[in-house]
Amino acid sequence: MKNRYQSLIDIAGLIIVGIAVYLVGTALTDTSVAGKGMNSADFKQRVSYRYVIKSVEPSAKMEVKWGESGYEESSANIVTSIVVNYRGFDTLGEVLVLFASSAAVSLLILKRVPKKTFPPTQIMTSSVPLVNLLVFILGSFIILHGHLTPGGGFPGGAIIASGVILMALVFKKAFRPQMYLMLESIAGMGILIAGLLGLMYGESFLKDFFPAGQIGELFSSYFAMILYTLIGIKVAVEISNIGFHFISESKGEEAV
Amino acid sequence: MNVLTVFLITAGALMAIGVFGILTRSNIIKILLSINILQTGVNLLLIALGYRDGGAAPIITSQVSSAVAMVDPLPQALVLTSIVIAFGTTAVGLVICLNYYMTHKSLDVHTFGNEEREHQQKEVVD
Amino acid sequence: MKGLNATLFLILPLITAFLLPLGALVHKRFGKMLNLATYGIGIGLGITMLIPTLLTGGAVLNMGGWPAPYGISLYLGPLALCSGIVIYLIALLIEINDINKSRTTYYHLLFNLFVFASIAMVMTTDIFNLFVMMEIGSIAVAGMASSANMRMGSRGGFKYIVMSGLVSMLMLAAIGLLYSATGTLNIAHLASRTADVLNPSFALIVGLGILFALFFEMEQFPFNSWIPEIYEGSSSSFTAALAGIGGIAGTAVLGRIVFTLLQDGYLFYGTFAKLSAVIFTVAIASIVIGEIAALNEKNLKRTLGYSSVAQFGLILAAFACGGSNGALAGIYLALSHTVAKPALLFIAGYFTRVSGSGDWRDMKGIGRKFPLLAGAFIAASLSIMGVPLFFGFWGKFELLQVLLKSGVFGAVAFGAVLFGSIFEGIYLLRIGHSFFVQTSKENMTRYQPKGTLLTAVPVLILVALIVFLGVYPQSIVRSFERIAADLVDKAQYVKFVLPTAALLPPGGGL
Repeated sequence: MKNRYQSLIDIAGLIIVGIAVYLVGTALTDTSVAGKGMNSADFKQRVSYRYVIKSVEPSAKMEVKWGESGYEESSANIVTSIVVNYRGFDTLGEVLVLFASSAAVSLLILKRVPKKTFPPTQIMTSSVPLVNLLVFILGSFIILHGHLTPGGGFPGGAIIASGVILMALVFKKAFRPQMYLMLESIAGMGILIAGLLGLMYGESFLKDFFPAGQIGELFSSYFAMILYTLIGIKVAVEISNIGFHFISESKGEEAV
Repeated sequence: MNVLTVFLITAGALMAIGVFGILTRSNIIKILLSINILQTGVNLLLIALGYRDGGAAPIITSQVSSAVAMVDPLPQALVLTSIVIAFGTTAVGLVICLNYYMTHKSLDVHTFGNEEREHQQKEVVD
Repeated sequence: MKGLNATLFLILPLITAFLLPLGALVHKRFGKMLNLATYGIGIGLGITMLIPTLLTGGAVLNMGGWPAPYGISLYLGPLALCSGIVIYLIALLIEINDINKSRTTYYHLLFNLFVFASIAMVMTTDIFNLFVMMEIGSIAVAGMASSANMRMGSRGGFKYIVMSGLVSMLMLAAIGLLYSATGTLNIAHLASRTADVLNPSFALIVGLGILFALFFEMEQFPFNSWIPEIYEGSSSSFTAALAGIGGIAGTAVLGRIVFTLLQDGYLFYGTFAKLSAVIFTVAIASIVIGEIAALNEKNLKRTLGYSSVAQFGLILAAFACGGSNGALAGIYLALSHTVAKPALLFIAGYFTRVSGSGDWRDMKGIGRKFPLLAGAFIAASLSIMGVPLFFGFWGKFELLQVLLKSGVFGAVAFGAVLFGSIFEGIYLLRIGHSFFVQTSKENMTRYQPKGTLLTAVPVLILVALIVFLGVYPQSIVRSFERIAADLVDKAQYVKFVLPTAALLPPGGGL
């Protein structure tokens, strides 16, 4: 039901947001005052410059070219090198965010009696197997080529999860929670073991202890590939887990 | 009015719309949507702050080596993480909305009059 | 292996969290036993590293092997190590309290992730990593808070998610703007920049963005609409985790941001006065509103929730004063609150279960049946009020001294703190008194002990700590001064975290 005061609340909100936008906008774009403002760090002075030229260690700075090897970090995609290698701990945190939200959804979801359910249509039952073939191939490609093309474990895992959810909408396949829990745990422990191996061979947690490869080859950056594969499995399992819970909840079936 | 300014103004507009929605809407699903719009606006702001005129995508290819001017790759890595965090909070928010609907039978965030009934029901949590 | 102890200290809850789903397939009580073992081992590891860290400064863990501004480093100094040990201790006591309650595997998992996020928050030196850990913590809290009572939990959980989403996005925008102006995300690197000063209005926006997230973390006034429903509608051990673990982690993070990043740095030069004014205003508002709300509240757990808001306001006021005395006062207050509030919440949970109602007026005379617990309630209340001979006295005393020397805002805060203490006395002792009131026989027979008295063990440990440290604070004063020095001494922090100047890019202290 519409609140009587809704238009008053709307106008008050508009005024507050308008004033805030004005104040923040003028503060951020004010160039008359001395001192650094928004977007004022030169690109060569930023921390990311060292990521681009792959020389955090102050050794000889060579120009990074396709097909060469011997750099401190061997993935062609610089964003992947940041996500997996230089700032790998943030990626571990990101994986934990997904882990926490999957666990929270499993914890909070309840069973309810549905009012009406629709069976899947003929288009879905006949096209989903074909579409899923393409979806799984695409997802695996994006995961495995994370160090060569944009993408990586997270988008690839999400694509695979969307294929799995399509299957869940169409088939009456039972959702086996044990398999998902096991996959999640094993993939997670795999990431931690990779990190601890880095501690053992490389003196730091999550250190890339593989030898440098050739930039541009598929099997150049083993660490990125292993980590992204584990992350891709974990993300796919967790997103499809969340999807399953919502689907089975609406059908009134027993959730996990 | 260069490309950077357009990005920044769009990001600012999205953030303002998101904050407006959180402050004024009373339907819980709309509030969640506004949070999502705010998150999208912030992601766009982050990427826009790494933009460089004429910069190439930060991937080493046979035509692009590290000597070519590239856009800043670090905000892109930050936004990857931020998108996943937005997904996580939306998922948990939706489950809480489901529970809210099932216990209050309404999607309105101002459900007055329920507190009295609760205290009478003696529904305690230890 | 170099750094193994420190790495294990951080990673232990993660290993447990990943093993839990596998273990739950094997045996049902696996979760509780594994958690107890984990927190016990964590405390042990922390204590082995305690003496070397306090004497010579702590370990630095460079994640991925890359040195500080290029990679993420975690600094395990005195502040981080002691906060970590206290977090593990409170988590262990919560698990002991929970031994007879049934908790699903997912709840244990979320709890472990919450403990990990709190410890990593305190140790991290990278501001984006701080943001990610805060998000892990808030998702875990939202999940655990809504799990007990569906009705109140969903309301409180929804408000929490909305507030957390709004505030964390403001923080992320501030981090992005700060990066675009300075080119780095590392706190020590930002603190050591000599080359640049930020534009004052820009610095104000960035500072406020980061501070709002910390105000939310510390349950302060404009951002605490979720407090009443979550404190009443979740289990008492979870609220003990929020008040105890969340409080210590929030205090350590707030201290690090205020003392290392914001205060008399080069970056925020000139805006610290305005930011400190904002912190003072929020703190005073929280103290006053928290105490008044607690006075009017009938539900026991809600009262304790509003009392937490006011106590955190005291910590904020202490830090806003700046200087090593302010840091010392804040640390004392944080530790005394972390030791007293979970005890009060455990007792509140047990009495709620025994008497069948959350309202403290329905608990008349319960102290005559359980004198030990009710006595502990009164002892912990006296500590929160700041009565001499209990631990809370030292913190409040230090705080009042520091406030008198801090200008106008300090004087107003001084008045608010005194006013708040009087109110605390009224409502806490009122509840304690009603526990011992003479009541009818049939009322007394209503109170049947439920569950084993294993609840009493954590409470008694905490109260013993309160009394021991209150009477004999000399035992830890030296450590506290070391921790406060670690907070305040920026040059020391930068020296530990950043590598030698040869690795930094050209352009001075960039």
